[in-house]
Amino acid sequence: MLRARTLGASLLVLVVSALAALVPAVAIGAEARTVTFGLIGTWTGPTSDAGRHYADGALHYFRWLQDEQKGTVETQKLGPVRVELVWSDDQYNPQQTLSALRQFASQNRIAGAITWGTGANLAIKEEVNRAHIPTLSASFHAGLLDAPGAYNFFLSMTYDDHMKVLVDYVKSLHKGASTPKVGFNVHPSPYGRSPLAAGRAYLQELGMKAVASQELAADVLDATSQVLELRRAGAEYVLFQNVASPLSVFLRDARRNGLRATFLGIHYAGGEELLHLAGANADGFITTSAARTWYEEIPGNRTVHQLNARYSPDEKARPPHYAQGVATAMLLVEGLRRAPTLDGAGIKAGLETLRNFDTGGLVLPVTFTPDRHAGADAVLLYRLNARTKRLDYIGEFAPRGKAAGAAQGR
Amino acid sequence: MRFHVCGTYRTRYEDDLRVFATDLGPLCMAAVVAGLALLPLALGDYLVYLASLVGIFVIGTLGLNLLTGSTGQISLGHGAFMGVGAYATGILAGAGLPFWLALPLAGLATAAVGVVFGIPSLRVKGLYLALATLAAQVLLEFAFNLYDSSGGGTSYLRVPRPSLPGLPLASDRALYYLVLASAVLFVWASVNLLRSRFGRAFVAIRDNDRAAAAMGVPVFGYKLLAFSLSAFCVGVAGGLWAYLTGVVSAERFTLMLSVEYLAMIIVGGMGSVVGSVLGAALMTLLPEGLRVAADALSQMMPQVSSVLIGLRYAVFGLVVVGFLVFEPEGLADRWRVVKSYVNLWPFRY
Amino acid sequence: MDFLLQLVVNGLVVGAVYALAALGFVLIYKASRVINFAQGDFLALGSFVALAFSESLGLPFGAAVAVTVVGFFLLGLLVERLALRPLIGKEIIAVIMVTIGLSSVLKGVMYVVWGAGYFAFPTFLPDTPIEVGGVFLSPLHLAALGASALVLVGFGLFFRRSTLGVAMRAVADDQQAALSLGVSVRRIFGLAWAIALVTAVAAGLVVGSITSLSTEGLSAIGILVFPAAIVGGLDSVAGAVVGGLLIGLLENLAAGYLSPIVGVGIHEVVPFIVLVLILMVKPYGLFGTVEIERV
Repeated sequence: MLRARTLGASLLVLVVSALAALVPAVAIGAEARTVTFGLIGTWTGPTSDAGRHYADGALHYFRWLQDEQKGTVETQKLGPVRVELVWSDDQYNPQQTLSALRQFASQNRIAGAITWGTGANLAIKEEVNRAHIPTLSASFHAGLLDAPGAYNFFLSMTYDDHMKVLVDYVKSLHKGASTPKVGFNVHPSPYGRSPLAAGRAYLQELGMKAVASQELAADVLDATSQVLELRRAGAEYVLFQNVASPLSVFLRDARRNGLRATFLGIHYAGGEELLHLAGANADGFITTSAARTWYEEIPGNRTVHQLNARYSPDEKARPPHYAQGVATAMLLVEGLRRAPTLDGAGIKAGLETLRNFDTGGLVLPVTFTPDRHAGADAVLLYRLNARTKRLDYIGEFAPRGKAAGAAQGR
Repeated sequence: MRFHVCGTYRTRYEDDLRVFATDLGPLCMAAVVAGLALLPLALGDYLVYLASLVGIFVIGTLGLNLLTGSTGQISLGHGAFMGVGAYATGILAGAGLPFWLALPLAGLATAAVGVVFGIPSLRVKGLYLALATLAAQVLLEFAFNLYDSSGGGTSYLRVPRPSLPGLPLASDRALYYLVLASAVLFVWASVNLLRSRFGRAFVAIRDNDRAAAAMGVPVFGYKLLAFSLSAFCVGVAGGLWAYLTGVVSAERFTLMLSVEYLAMIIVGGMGSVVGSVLGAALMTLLPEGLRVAADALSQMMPQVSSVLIGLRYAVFGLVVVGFLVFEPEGLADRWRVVKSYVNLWPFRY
Repeated sequence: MDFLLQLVVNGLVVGAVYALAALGFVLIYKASRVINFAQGDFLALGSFVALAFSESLGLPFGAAVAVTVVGFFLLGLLVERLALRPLIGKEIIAVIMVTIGLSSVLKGVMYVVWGAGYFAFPTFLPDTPIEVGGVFLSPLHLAALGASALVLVGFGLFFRRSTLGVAMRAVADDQQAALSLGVSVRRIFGLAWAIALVTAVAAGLVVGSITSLSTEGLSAIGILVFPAAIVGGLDSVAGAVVGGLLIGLLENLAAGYLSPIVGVGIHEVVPFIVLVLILMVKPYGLFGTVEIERV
């Protein structure tokens, strides 16, 4: 019984100490010229294979700011301001994202946040606006921007517009007089389904035909049935809004079953992870990307390589999500530099003055205005090359059709 | 007024059914409720939010404990049932219903869903039933993901803040009182339900449903009743959660949540109201405490932050395993020991 | 017709993999009436460890697998001794909770050691498809099918022919009677865990080769194969095989014929609907032992 009692006691101590940890010093705001930002990343849990690079990128930029500039940013209107960062891993659990945000808002009085997934951002959406915390998300879900003037931002176009770029590209790829036959394959979640309606509508507008609309979950062992359906429907192009692991399964089964179509995906669908997983099967896969890849000669990549070498020397190369994280942190700091007041509303106002802001080429130039919180009008296209194990740059694309203009207004 | 009992003086059945053995009990209970009511005066916003979260999970855990702890039907679907309540509340509140109508109606809707998924309990038992309720979880989760409020498969739903005429409930603190009042109501209802003929029938079914049937308990009806009451509780909890977060989205109501619910009743104590309360509090605060602790540590030592972040899972698991290995009867048992120790102090026996 | 044939063949191949993964549940349930919610995490850990042995230590892949199998056998004994044995005789739901806790511990270990990311086994089979009567099969799938069949038949024989297997069945049948006949129930429980973990390694290797290695992806397989384990009956090896094949088949047919009509991925939930329907008719699965209740 003694054993049990000591264990009970130690459990109690653990709980009490955990509770004590919940009550840290609230006295951070004592020094007038300090601002705190929050980073709620997904280092572990579902989607963390990409999420950890993004979160690392943002974190490393702030660590660099701390080490190199003593954490101080020279602002335009408020003089030097010290930047502090608090961060948390939400394990891709929206409840934890919300708790972390509430904690940071109440205890650290954060004036800006950087976040990851679609589910998490939908869960904190109301809270972000209630607490006036401008939030830069890695999810480009159109639903995040459906209330104009809210506090949600992201640095690319919406997934809807990504999808439209792919549809445009299919049209330009297609040879001959026939109508291109297009299939959709998405992840069964808000993330996956979000660009489906826009994609279908746009396809119809351009006079193309959707021959299939499928869903492929993240943990599948086999995608043969989907592949067979596409083959039977005679799909020539398949558009994906999915993640790397099920895609690699799909591509292998597609090759095995002789589905000869062109595969195209959105941002998180496939980059280096897909090449790594699917190897030769991923060759020729076309993907949109908001950020540049590791190997390109752009000024921003020098910073990115330095940050990675300094703070995570074990990682040899990083996928574009890392650059995306760095760029997101740069944007938030730039918002601070232009802020009229040192609070969330001020930083939101600062962000909304960004006009073609250049992050050293890491992402396309970013423009935010009071009623436009999706930072870019265009997106980068890459083709996966299995021989060099790199992504070949195709170009910069904006949605062309009639519907495109309306979407960019958001 | 009796403040201390030195033996068993029960001579009537009514004595056995008393909630409080001494007059000290109601006093203590009043003090606890008063303390909880004063809590927001002493705490910051975040801690008030956490306290609300605990209250919500207390209500849900009472529900699951009624079904699993008292009636013996294991459910792996309560996470999804909570989602049904949350979506129903969101839809009803969006249609302009006040919270005092939306919440009970959401509870009833969830109860109806609970009954439907409780039908397999007619024939299926034990672990097989647990996995049949897993099917409920999977099916409902699938349905949530399809829910579409604004087109495009967004599957999320915005929930307006509750209000009373002339009394806005917009702040987190006001919501805390709503949660606290509901939680007190549900605790009171649970305690009284368990000492009624319904409660005794539930326990009889748990112990042996054939014996219960032989004694004249309509087993299937009572099982469905347990399913519906239990779903009602988590439904209301889901509704409160929807009000607290302002948004309902499918990704919260996963199998993980159902498992968390089970963890709460097991760690707390099966079939015990006190256990439900303690278990919900511990299992809500422990992951949150671990998160805050890991974050604080990794901010002190950014070099090893990835290790600390991974350790959160391991520590959580170790606490759960350690707890069950050393304290398999749950916190309720520990509570009983502490209480009798205090009662008998300074004597050991 | 070609379409149907291909779906059926494919469903059976995937079903065999499900059966292999479901076997781990069955072994533990058979001996100790516990559902091991950590089976998926053991599966993931097994494939990670095998990969680590072959890549970091430079062992040939076969040797790495052998070392992993031995390691997991011992790990199974250890886990049973430390986490499960103290709970013998306690409520079944508490024991289930322990396995859920274990699952969290294993996840933590994998995140600390390997981090979040995808890994792939070295390719040891050519990836050119083989065409048999209009149906395409890959060597990888055939290997998976072969491995699953081998393990399943092996266990079938083990339970029928070997003394140990018979002892395990005796314990599953009636612990008291087995004890009185001199079977050490403790040893059998330990062995059941050890063997279940070995099957987890086997399943991890097969699944890992087919898809990729990631903590979350492989852990989720544990839930994915629940319907397979239940439909067949939790304590029947033959049931795991039939359940696995049935679920694989259903999933493929639903994905081929039903999902295109509905427009959403209904095939993901079809196995669960079938699971409930089957349980309504046969409450202990197709081949599960019917528990006789006495008042």
